[in-house]
This record gives sequence, structure tokens and C-alpha cells, in this order.
Amino acid sequence: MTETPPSQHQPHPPLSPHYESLDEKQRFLRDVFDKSAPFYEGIAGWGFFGTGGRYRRWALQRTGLKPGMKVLDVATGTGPTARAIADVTKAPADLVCVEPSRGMLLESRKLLPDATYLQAGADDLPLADATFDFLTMGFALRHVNSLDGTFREYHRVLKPGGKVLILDVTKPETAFGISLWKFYFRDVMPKVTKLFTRSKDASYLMSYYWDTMEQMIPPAEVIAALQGAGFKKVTRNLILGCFSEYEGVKE
Amino acid sequence: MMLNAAILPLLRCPLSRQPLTLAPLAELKILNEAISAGEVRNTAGRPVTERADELLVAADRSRAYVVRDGIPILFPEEAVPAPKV
Repeated sequence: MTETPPSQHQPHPPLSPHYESLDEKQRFLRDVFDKSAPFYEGIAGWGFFGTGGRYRRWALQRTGLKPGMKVLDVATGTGPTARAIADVTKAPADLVCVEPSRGMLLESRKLLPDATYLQAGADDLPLADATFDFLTMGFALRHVNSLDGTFREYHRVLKPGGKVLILDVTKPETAFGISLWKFYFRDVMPKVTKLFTRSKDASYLMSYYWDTMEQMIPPAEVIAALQGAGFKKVTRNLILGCFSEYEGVKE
Repeated sequence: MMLNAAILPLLRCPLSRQPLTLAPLAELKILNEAISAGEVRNTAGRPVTERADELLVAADRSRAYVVRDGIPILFPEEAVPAPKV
């Protein structure tokens, strides 16, 4: 293996009191996602008013996902993006899902049993070079240790001509948008999650989400990291002021 | 549930990028006996206490990865030594 270049872009700094150092981050995340896994589909459902599946299919089709493509979904969670991919490609057996949390993987497998599931991280993909036509990551960019290392891995496992699509929530650019964003993600989501799930773990996860969103590095740095990893034609499409779709092509 | 064999040609060791192959039952038995005896530690130095359902071994036999309930666990820090045969 060649020597790995140093990492320049972390999604956000270590978030005390959740964890103190980058070394602790992945263990912390696996624990909190394992505990919240049974509640996660419900939270994602009401949290986006049932529109998450339709939005994902729309984004995937606009980006060029087609039947017959071999797809890797990274940080698949309970599988909302994976199910949208299978709806478009009509071939769940050609879909590989990678996720660090075992609890989340088991929930996803209940809903999409024909995909292949691997328990692994985005920074060290356990997969062969030039394997996939399309790679997705839905609302999980903040959970990796290094954008640079993760994007190099994405570039490595894609075939020439393959596309990456990363969906994420980003801070709005207007004062009004920021007020609405804070009210919903900081004030409403954790409280309603606790009310619906009666789970302290699930409510805690939503509070942690807010901290990651507030501290997330700007979109220009995500674009720079994708370009630095070798992706061409990198673009960011902004939907409703806070949903970012980052695309890139491996030439 | 067992590992989907169709994924095997695509799997690589996350540390060395060596291809991974499914270990024969005799090697799985050796590993599980060592786990039961408390003799197995992963790359991070933590004891491995849960038995494997299947085992993936790197082509150079430098490392192996356990599979539980059909899902391979492929973190660099959770690799285990390949059983000596």
C-alpha cells in the first residue's frame, strides 16, 4: 500500500462532552447508534414528515442512478437511502451496504433483506478497487473521522466514470433560515423524539446531531476535499436552503 | 444466516487490501476453541469473547475477520490472528 497523505478536513472538531478525542469518536458513535437503532426509523419518518424516501429517490434519479448499476451505500444506517436505491435500480442484490453500527445494520436488513451488509467504517472500506458504478452517503458525512481519507476510499472503489452522491444537512445562509433550522433541529427534534420514543438514548442522539450540525465545516471545504481526493465535475446542489447534494465523478 | 457468497470476490482486508477467502470449518473450529479458552485478542488488544459463525482470512494469512449472523465485521482494529493450521 502507498503511504496515506495527511488529513486536512475533519467534519467537525471533537465534541466535548460527547467524546474528547478523535480516537474515541467511532466507538462513541457505534455505541449511541446501537442503542438508538430500534427507534431510528420512526424518528427519520416523522422528522422529515414522511418525505425522506421520495426526496432520496428524486435526488438519486437526478444524479443519474439507473437500473443495472452496482451501488455502494456507505453509512447505510437503518437503510432509508438503500431502499430508495433499490426502488430505482430494481436490483437489491446488486447493492452493498456498509455501516459501523451492528444495531443499525440489523434494522436495515429487516426492511431490505436482499442487499449485502458489511460492518465497517467509511475510512477503511473493505472492498476491491474500481468495483461500483455509483456510491451514496445519506446524512452521515459528519460521522467520519477524515473527509480526505473517506473520499480517497470512495474514489478508489468507484469504477472510472462512477459517481458519488453525498446528501447532507447544512447550515442555511440567511438569518431567517438559520433561525428556523435552529428551532427545528435544536429545540423540536430532541424533545419530540423523547416524547414519541420514551428513549433517553434516542433523544440524546438527536441532541448530539444538533451539536454536529452546528460545528460542521462549510460546504466549500467539503467540495475542496472531494476535489483533493481526485473527483472531477464536483458540484453542490442546495435544496430548500439546507439540504446539500454533493456530486462528483471519477474520470 | 450465512454470508452471501456473491460478495466474496469483492471483499478486501481493510488493512492490507489482500483478498479475503472463507476459512474451512476446521480453521473456524480452531479459532472458536481459542476464543472459548480466552486466548484471542484483536488488533486493538481487546479480548474476543463472542464465537464466530464464519471466518474470512486474508490471502497472506496475516489477519482474519469474524462473521456473525451473516455480517462480516471488517474493522482494522477488530482483526484477529489467522488460525495456525
